[in-house]
Amino acid sequence: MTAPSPFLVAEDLVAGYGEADVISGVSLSVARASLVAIVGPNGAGKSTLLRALFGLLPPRGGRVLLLEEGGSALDVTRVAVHRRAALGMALVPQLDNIFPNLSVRENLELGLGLRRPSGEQLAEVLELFPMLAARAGTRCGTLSGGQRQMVALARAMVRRPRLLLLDEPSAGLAPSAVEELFDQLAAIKVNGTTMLLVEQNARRALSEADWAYVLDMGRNRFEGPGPSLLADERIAELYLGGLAGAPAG
Amino acid sequence: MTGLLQLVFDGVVVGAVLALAAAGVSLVYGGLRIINFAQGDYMTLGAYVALGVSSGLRLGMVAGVAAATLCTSAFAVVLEPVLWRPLRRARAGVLSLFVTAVGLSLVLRQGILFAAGGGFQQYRVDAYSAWQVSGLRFPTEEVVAGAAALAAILTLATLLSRTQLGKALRGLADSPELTAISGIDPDRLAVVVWALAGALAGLSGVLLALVETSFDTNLGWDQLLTVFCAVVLGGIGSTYGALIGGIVLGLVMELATWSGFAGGVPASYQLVVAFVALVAVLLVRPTGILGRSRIL
Ligand SMILES: Nc1ncnc2c1ncn2[C@@H]1O[C@H](COP(=O)(O)OP(=O)(O)OP(=O)(O)O)[C@@H](O)[C@H]1O
Ligand SMILES: [Mg+2]
Repeated sequence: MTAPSPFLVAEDLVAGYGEADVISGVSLSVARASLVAIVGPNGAGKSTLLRALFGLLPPRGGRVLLLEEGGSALDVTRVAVHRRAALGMALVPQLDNIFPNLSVRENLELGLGLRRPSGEQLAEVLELFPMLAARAGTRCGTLSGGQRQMVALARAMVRRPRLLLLDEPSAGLAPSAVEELFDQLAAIKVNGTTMLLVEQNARRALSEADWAYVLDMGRNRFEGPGPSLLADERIAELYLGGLAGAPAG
Repeated sequence: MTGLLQLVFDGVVVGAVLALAAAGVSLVYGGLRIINFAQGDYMTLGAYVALGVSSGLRLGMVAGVAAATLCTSAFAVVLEPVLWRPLRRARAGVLSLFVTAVGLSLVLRQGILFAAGGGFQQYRVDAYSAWQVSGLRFPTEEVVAGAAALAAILTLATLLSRTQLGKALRGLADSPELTAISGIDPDRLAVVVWALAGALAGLSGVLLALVETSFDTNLGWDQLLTVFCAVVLGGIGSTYGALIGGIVLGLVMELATWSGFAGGVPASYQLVVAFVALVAVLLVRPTGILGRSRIL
C-alpha cells in the first residue's frame, strides 16, 4: 500500500466563542479518499472543530490547508464560507442542516448554489437516497429527524464534493437506519470522496474509519487507525463506556 | 348587493397594492432580519418619482410607474453596502437595525418634503374616467392599479417558487448559514433582497397614489401600520403569506364599511378593523396565515 497522500491538513487550530477557546491547538490530517472519524464526549469541541475547518467560525490561530495532488497547497483559512463549495468542500452541520420551508427537491436544488442542477445530477443523488425520491415535494420541516438527516447529506452530495465534513449524521437514526447510513458513506467513499466524520456513535464510526482522532476538552488525546483505537482499553474505558473491542452498534 | 360587490372590488385593489409593500417588508425581514420601518417612505419615494417623471418631465404615467419602481429599487440597493452591510459586519442586533430603519424613515420623509414641497399632489390622469357595469363603478386608475398589482404579485410568486434565485431567497430566510455553505454569497443575496423590496415599495407607492387620487409626503407613512399588519397576518417572514395577508386585509377593511354590516364601520376606523382582524387570526393561528413557528 502506498502512503496515503493528505488532502486536508489542520495545523494547531485554535477557535472558540467569546473569550474562551473551545479548541486549543488541534492538528489533524485527512488522507485522500479516506474516512477519518472524530469521536469524543459531548462538549469536547467536535462541532466547533468542523465549523472552524469550514470557516463558519474564523480560526484564532493555526491554519487549514487543502493539498492538491500536484503538490500545491491552498491555505483556506481566510477563504469565505461561500467560496468553499467551489473548492470541493462540503459540510453537513449538526444543526440547521436543511431548509425547513423548502421541499425536499428544492433543498437538493440548492445544493449547487445559484446554479440549477440538471435532472441527471438530481437523479444521481436520489439513487443514493431512494427514500427521498418518493417525498420530493414534501416540505422538509415536516420530515422525521432521520429523513432530515438524509436530505442534509443528499444536499451536500449534489455537488459531488471532494471533501465531505459530516457532523453527527446518524443523530436520531434508528439502528437499521444507522446501518443504511454507513452503507451510504461506504458508497460515497468508493467514489473517491474524502470524508471527515464526527460521530456520537463512536464504536460504529471507529470500526469504519481508516484513521480516527479522540477529541476531549478541545485537544486531540489519541489518534490511530479506527479499529485499533476501538481495541484500545484505555480509550474504551474513558470514551466508549465499556470494554474494548465490544461489537459495534 | 351592488354595494357589497363594489366594496369587494375596492378591497381587492387596495389589498393587492398594499400586499406588494408587505411582501417587501417580509422579504427583508425573512432574509436579513431587518424590520424595515422605512418601507412606507420608500412607497412615498416611488409616488414622488412617478410624479416627477410623469408630470414634471411629461413622460406619461407608464414611464412614471416604471421609474418609481426602478429608482426606489436603486435607492434601496445603494443603502445595502453603505448602511446595512457595515451594520451586519458589526453584528448589530435586531433592535439596533430597527432603530436605524426608524431613523432612515424620518430622514427619507423629510428629504422628500424638502425636495418636493408640502401640499397635496395629483398625477395628470383623468380622475373621472370610469367603466360603469350594471351599477358598479370601476374607475380607470383603480382598474389599472389593481391589474398592475396583481400582475406584480403573480410575477413575484413565480420568481420565488420557480426560479433558482427565488429558492435561494427562501433558503436565506430559513438559514443564512446553510445558504453560504451551499456556495451562495450572502452579500449578493442581500442586494437582491433590497432590489426586490425597493421595487415592490416603489410600485406599491405609485399605485396607491393613483388609487387615492391625491397624496402628500405622508402617503406611505400613513399605510405603514396596515402594511405591517398584513405582514403579521400572513405570517412573519413568509412572503407568500404577506401577499395573501395584504389582500385579505384590504378586503376586510373595505367590507367592514358595508352598510349591511350593522350599518357599516366608519371609514376612519379601518385601521382598527385591520387590527381586530389581525388579533382574531392570531388567536386562531398564532403564526399567521402561512406562518412558520421557527421564526421569532
Ligand atoms: N455558539 C456557541 N456560543 C458559545 N459557546 C458555544 C457555542 N457552541 C458551542 N459552544 C461551547 O463550545 C463547547 C464545545 O461545543 P461543541 O458543540 O463543539 O461540542 P461537541 O463536541 O460538538 O458536542 P456534542 O457531541 O454535544 O455535539 C461547549 O462547551 C459549548 O458550550
Ligand atoms: Mg457537536
